Amino acid sequence: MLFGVPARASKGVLAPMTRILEGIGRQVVKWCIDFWRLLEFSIEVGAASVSFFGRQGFRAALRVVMQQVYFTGFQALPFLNLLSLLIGFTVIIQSLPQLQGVGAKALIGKILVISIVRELGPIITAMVVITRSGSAMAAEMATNRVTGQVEALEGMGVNIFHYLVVPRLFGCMISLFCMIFYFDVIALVGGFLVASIQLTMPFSLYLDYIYQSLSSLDLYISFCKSMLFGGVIALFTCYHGLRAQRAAFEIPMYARSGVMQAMFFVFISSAAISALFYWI
Amino acid sequence: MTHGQPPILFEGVSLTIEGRQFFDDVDFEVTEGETVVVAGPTGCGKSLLLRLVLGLPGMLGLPGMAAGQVEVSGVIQVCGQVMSELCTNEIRVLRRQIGTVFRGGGLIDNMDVYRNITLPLYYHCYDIMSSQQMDARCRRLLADLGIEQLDQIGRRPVTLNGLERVYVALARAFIADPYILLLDDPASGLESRTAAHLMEKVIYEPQFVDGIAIHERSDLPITRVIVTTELDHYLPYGDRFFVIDRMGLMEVGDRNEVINCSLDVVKNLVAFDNRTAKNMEF
Repeated sequence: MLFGVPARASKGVLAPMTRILEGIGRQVVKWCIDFWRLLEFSIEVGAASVSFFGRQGFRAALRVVMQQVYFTGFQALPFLNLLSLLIGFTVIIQSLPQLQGVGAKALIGKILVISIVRELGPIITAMVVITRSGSAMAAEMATNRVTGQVEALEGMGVNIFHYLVVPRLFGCMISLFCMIFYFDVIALVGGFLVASIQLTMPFSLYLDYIYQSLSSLDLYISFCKSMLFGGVIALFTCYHGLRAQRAAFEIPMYARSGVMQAMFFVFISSAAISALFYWI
Repeated sequence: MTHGQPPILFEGVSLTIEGRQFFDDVDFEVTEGETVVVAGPTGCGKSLLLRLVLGLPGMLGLPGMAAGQVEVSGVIQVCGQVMSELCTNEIRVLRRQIGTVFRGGGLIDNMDVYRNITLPLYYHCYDIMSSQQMDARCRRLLADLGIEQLDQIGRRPVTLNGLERVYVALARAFIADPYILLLDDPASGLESRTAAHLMEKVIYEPQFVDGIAIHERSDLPITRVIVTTELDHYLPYGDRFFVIDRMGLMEVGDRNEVINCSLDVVKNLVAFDNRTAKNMEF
């Protein structure tokens, strides 16, 4: 009997609460462990990145970097072409009527630079890389692990962080940097197509608006985002891919985790960088 | 590594993985140049013995393997170096002196046969060997092992059958002058003639004419450790035989002692009859 409540009844009331608290506690502990493992993994990758340019294994790893740039960057260009052209087209087609309404069509450059160069370019390119290459990387890492290829590489004395993870990290960073630049250029061309048709704006004037609106800060933000997104995508997808251990069913499971977490952290870091530069 | 030191030495080694004990206080020594065969039923931890030599259990700080899941105690000495005293990078350096043929070959799927074989050289020896020298070594091995036909441009491991994968893995293991060769049941499931042909290649000592000493020990004979579930294919080639079961690791002796052994655990691992034994001409 507790405060006049029979023991069985009090147990009945408290038990669900205890279970909920237990569940929350277990989840928090799991997050902490996951975070700790990711940190350990990142430290290993960081150490391997420092030794990447050493004599040992440099050429073999460089070949993987080139393969990654080819797969992530070059092979995605046709899709990126269409996407960036349509994005540039859409941004202008939506904003031009508003600008014309208030007689501020000279702001077209500012809108394009802020929306495309600062925000849409990096984030949409990152999404393309995550869905196309990130999922492939996570699945490849998981398959390598499950089929014993990671163990075979380590058995040969090959540092898998140096040979498998760091080349993908560098490959993603290089690819994203080039792809974002490419995306921006094509999107601006798409914007010009609309501007030239709707406003009969000459190319030189359009270019002038863009040039006046584009500051070194915009390019710096774009560069920072490309490096950060490239790193985040490679790190998360490789980390989750290498978590697979034994069974084939783990491959899609960890590939999905890698893709979801990479996507989440890309959005978080994009917002953080934008906010940081806004306050600066 | 100097002459006279055992290439592999286990003293009081115990191994527990995720609460399951595989070895308890195991002593095991392999001397220079000998071929040791370790047999045991499936799941008794034979492959783990090879992984212990490579320092692979609980390896690398890879995600998914929590601290404390793998517990190794005792002294494991490989090529004269105590594994527990080495850092991860030093263990990787040590592994370059060990050639391994994993079960199923352990080939890298996204590389063709040529790149699979030359990978150890391409990764570790680019500063001491030219591409031509690597190529010459690869061609020599392909010819000696009788697998030249597998070296077609772009031919990936997925197009190879099980035996071809083992041959390619063997070539990859040989290419960097291994001091120790570890083989995980290479002749598993093969009929006797094919297995005998493979074993002739396993005991072969490659002689490269480029004169490049990749390790200090390049002139020493290769020490081989083979783990298997059945002893038949390996009886003519092993110098000493061990058996693993729940009781631990036990030395049976040479091939004659294996044949004459009355222990059930050994009899179960040998399926030959008198006619087979006669053909083997011990």
